[in-house]
Parts: sequence; C-alpha cells; structure tokens
Amino acid sequence: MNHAPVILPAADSELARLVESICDGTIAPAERDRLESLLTDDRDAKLYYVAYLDMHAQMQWVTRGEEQEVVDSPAIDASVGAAVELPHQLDPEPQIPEPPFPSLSTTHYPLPATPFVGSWAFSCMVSAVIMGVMLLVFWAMKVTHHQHIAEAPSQSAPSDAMPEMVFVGRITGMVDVKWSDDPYFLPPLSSRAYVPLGRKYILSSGLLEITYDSGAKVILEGPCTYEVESTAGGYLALGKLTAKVVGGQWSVASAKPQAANQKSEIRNQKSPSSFIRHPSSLFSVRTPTAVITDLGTEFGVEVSDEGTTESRVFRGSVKVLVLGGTAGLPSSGREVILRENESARVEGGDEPRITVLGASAKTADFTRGMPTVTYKTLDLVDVVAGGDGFSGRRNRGIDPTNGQVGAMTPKDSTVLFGNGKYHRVEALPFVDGVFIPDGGKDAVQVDSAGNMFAGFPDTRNATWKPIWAGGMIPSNPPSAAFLGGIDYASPPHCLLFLHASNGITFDLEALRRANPGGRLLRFRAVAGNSSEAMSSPDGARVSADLWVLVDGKVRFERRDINGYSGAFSVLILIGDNDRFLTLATTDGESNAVHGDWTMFGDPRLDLMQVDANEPKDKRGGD
Amino acid sequence: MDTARHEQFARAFVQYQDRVYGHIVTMLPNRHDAEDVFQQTSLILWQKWEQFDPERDFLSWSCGIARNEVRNFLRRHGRERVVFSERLMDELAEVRVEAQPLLTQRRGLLAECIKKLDFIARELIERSYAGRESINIIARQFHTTPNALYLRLRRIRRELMECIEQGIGREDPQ
Repeated sequence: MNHAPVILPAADSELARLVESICDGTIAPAERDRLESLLTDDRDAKLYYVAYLDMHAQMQWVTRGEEQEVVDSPAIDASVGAAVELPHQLDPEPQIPEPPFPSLSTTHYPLPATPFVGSWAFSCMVSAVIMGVMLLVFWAMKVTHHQHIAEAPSQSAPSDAMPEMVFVGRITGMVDVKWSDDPYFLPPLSSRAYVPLGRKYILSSGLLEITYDSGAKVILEGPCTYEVESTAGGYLALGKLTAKVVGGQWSVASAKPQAANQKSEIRNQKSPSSFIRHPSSLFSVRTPTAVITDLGTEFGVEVSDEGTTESRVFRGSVKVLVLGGTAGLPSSGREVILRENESARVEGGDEPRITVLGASAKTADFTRGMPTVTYKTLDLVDVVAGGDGFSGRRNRGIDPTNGQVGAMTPKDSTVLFGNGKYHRVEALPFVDGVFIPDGGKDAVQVDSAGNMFAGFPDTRNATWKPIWAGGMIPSNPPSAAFLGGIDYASPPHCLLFLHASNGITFDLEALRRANPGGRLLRFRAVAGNSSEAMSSPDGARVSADLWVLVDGKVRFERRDINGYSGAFSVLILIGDNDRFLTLATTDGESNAVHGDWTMFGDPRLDLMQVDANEPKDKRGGD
Repeated sequence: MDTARHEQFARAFVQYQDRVYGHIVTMLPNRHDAEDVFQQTSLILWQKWEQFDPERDFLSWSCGIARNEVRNFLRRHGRERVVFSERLMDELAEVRVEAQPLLTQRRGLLAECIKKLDFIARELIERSYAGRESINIIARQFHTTPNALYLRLRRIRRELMECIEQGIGREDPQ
C-alpha cells in the first residue's frame, strides 16, 4: 500500500522551525502551543512531524550505547603549525561499557530505597530478565557455534554457558577507512565506538583496529568483511587481518539473569549480583575454510574471494583447523600447528586441503601495527609570507597585477588595475598565482591549469590594495582588522587580507609533495569584511563578495557583505584529487565607495600525516 | 512461561524495539524521558506477554502499551514534561501506526543518507546525539558557537530528510 508522501515544509517555515526546536530541546512553552495549533487538523503536518521525529529517534537509537562514555576526543589544534598525535590505544584498562539497554549494567544497579516493586531497580532487573530471554535467542542464533570454535571446550555450568549480550571491545584506531557502499551496512558512527557482539565491519579500504576487552587486538585491512562473533574472536569472510593476543587470559564480568526461574527472580531478588566470570579462552579467527586459534601469538590471516585462507605466524604459534565440506564442520586430522614465520594455505571445496609453507615462502603482506596518525595545521598566511606553512612568517604582500612578492607600504594603497591575466607567483613554492577577478567581459582564469570561472561580477578589473599576509594592515596608521570581536591582525591570529577585488590560488599538489604521506583534509578560516572598514564614511553602503573555489568550481560564496555582516566560518573539505584552492574577493554593487576590507582570518589547511615510512609488515612489529 | 514463549518474546522485541522507542519519542522528544518510558514499557510488555494473543500484531500492541506508559509518565511528572495535549498525542500515535510501512522504508534510507554526509557532518551528528559531551564543548571543538552548532544540526537533519524523500521517490516512482 502506498502511503501518502511526507510533504516537507519550506526550511524557513514556522512548522519546520518549531519541529527543529523540539528536537533540539530548545522549544519554549509558547512555541510548543503554537506547534500544537499547527499540527491540529493538519494531517500533512502531523505526518511530517511523525517522520521527522522518527528520524530523530533513530539517530538517538543508534547512539544509545555510547551515551555513557566520557572521553575527550582530540580536536585538531588551531594553533599555528601544531601537530597533535592521536592515541590509538585508549584506556589502558578497558572497561565494560554500559550496554545499549541501560538497565543491564550490573555495577550501576541502585539498591532499592523505595518499595522495590515498581521502582527503577525493579524495572532494571526485569528488563535484564527480558534481555536474558532475548539473549537466549541471540545465543541460539549467533553464538552457539562459537562455543565450538572460539572457546575451549566448555566445562562450565549450564547457566554459565549462555553468553550475555555484551560489548566485547572497542574501536581503537582508524586510518583512511572507507566503508562499504552496501545499503544495508551502517558504519559505526563513532571512531571510538564500542564493539558489540555480532557487529559486522565491511571496509572498502583503510585500516580499522579493534581492541577486545581481553587485550587482543585485531587490525582489519580493507577490503575486508569481519564479524565479531565472540568475546574472543570473529569471522573473517573476506580480506586481511592481523591479530595480536596479549597473554591469552580474558574475563568479562557482567550481570546475566539466570536462565531458570526467571519469574521468581523478579519477585524475590532484591539486588542482582550474578557476576559471571567467563572461563579463559583462546582467541580464534574463523574463515570460510579454517579456524585459526591463538596459542600465544601474533598472526595474520587472509581470505581470498574464493574463500582460500592463508595464515602466517609472526610470533608464537597457532593451530590451524581445516573446516570440511559444505557443512562447515571440522574434519578430523586436518589440524596443524604453525610456529614462528611459518604459514599455511587452506583451500576449501569438497576436498579441503592444507599446505604448510616454510619461513621462506612468499605470503601476503600484513599490516602488523596501526600507523601513527598525526594531524597538522598548515598556516596559509605563512605560506604567502614565504614559509612552508609551519614557520610562522608574516607581513609580506603580493601584487595581484604581476605576481611580484614583497613588503607592502602605505603608498601601495592605491588603485591597481589588472590586465585580465593570471599571474604565476614564481617566488612562492605553494602559491600558484594571483589575479584580479573581473567578470565584466569574460570568464576568469583562476589557476595555472587553465580552470576558468565565469561567476565573478564586473569589478572594472581594479583593486585598491595588494594581497597581504599579516599582521597589521599597512596603512597610515597601520590598521587592525576585527571580525566578530577578534582582531585578526594581532597575535595569536593572522589574516590574509584580500581587499576587493583580489584573487590568490594555492597549489595543493605542491603542498602534498612537501608533506609526504600527508593528506589534506580541509580548508578553514573566518572570513568577512573587517569592521575597520566602517571608518569609511560610505561604510554602510559597502558591498563585497567572498569566494572560495577548488579547481575553478565554487565551494563557498557570500555576496553583498559589509562591515556589519559579521564573520563567516568557512569550512571546505579537500578531496585527494583537488589540485588548486582559490580565495577571491570582489566588489559588490558599490564600486564607488571605499571600505571593501575583505579578509580571511586564520586561514588553515588541516593535514593528516600517516607514517608510511616503515615497511608494511614491520609496522608495530618487534 | 515456557522457553518457546520466551523466544517468541525475544524475537518480537528485538525486531520492534527501535520502533517502539520511536513511537515514544514522537510523544516525548526529550531523550531521557523517552528512555525512562521505554524501560517501563519493556517491563510491562514482558509482564503482559502471557496475555498477548499471538494472532495480534506485536507492534500495534506494544505501541498501545507505550502510549499508556507515556500517559502515566506525564501524570507522574506533571505539566513541565507535557509536550502536546492528550488529543494531539492520540492523533500523532494514530498517524504513526498508519504510517509504519512508510517509516520502515524511511529508516532503511536513513542509513544510506547518513553515509552520504561529509565526515564533519557525520561527526557532528554522532557526537551531538551520543550525548557524551555538552553542546558547548562540541561547539568549541568545532570552532563555532552553540547556536551555530544547533543551526548546523538543523541543516544536516534537513539534508537527511530531503535525501530520504529523494530515495523514496526513486523507490516508489508514481
């Protein structure tokens, strides 16, 4: 049955605004009443509200398991040339997080201070029982086979045999991860997400590190499909992983309702205290054709498209068990122990076979440790002033009419007419060129690759000041440059002053070459028309435009701004194939007035540096 | 209750719990209120499971119980938690139940649309919804103000809604 479609109101409509306020939790009582009146007797509005709130609920739902975590994630440092190394290892003593069903936490059960039945603790317990039932199914459906595969033969009591729904670890590192496009696969929303039992990770490329609560680490290398199917292992359907097992002992303490007599527990138990300690277990990786079990080691496993499994031991030893035929059951006698530097290949089919390879055999190239990722902030003012982005240089200018670099003096503050051409800046390795953007006649060349842009307005091919990388703006007297209450002409800030009309293009490829292994992530700045321009008697009539282009295509545009327009936050994502970044300003409809003191404050490029210097199979090794 | 009945409950609950939660959020958008009512609803569902007629639709049954629990919650907590009148809440619940197939389709598309967001938008959504940090802290780390952050979140949600609508248009060509 086709349901009536959801009709989206205009983004700036009252209905849209009020529904947003309710999601933000910022709605005032009067607005709430107004929303009620808008929804009453309007079925389309009700359906819109329901659909919107359902989306809101879904996003709450998928982040439920992470609400309890309090970890400061490292932000990219805004300071000049700063480098922030991101830790891949998080808590040295991993803790069991709150499961997504909040009442399951054993350590947070409050003692009942009020009558127990009907209290929160009571509901917690019953919910735990419900979850216990759910887990019974979960166990039956998903985990039973792990008892055979990932764990030592069970010797525990029946009540201990049922695993509870737990988070088995967390993501502790990601480098260049691209997730699968599979429409049914939802990637983890957090780069430090907890890892629930049963979670599948499908990587198209990049590296993902999971640290189990036991201390075992698994590095998945895309393309790869891996499912966390036990607290001590997983199923590698495709691709490569490296597992490093620390110690080999593991334990998880959490509440689990007893399988039997659940209702009597609800009635009688006042404080659940069934802390279940799992038996020690060996870490195992299951594949379509084999099970590789850790015997105190570090090893790699690769599964090909055909399901062939190749395993290599870097340290210690592993047991490789061949899975036979279509039933997926172990075949007796098809088990080998591999020692350091040995490898084995297991081919499936009706007649599975295992081939042990010696230390000299060429095997797959495994990533044994997560590369160190460092974020750097590249300062574009320094670049224009002659630096490499990290040297903090200031107070140099470029003449947009010829590309000449030099100091700028107040006498330079005179009208400059361009010749309609793009000028290379030979003296600066990372500045491709400069120009006066004038769309009066033709499209304007904006980089040395010949990209043209036809969107600039008619500026009469003129500007009133050179491009300035500062520092106080040279004028008489030297001028500060306030935007949003901050003076970007004074330390610790800086500015790229582009009095309308000016244009400058940075060579992103040259910056990448100068930072091997670096990946440009984004350009950011605060932009606007300096409020100092308001000293002009024509201030209120000032009109200028701000532009950011990448390879000749507009990524950011603000038109008709003056000193009262405030500061604009500019954030442009840089792709790996983006070659040129162009910043430009143009006169608006105010050629006759003065005060187009347009600027980019603290212009930065964020750079991610991955240490790709070590050989791949040596990373993180001994 | 026998094991088979346990399993039936578990299967149904696992399958529909997010939709029950969504039903509650429609009436109680505040996350903590919704969580409280969801917990209580889960408990009541379990308690009443033996009375449940397997021929009935589990989702309708559980949403009915959730509606009652919202009512009880508001009775306990007073006016300040009330969002809408009883009448409007009933009407919204009714619209929601009728629109379940559409909502299910939309949820599938939401996952796709989230993947299409740029990484900054995804990080904003994830951190804002995870509730680990205050909006002030997130805003500071993104070099912006809380108000600007709210606006950005609104734009992202709007983008997601539009993306879902486009997806529905593709899947259901008229």
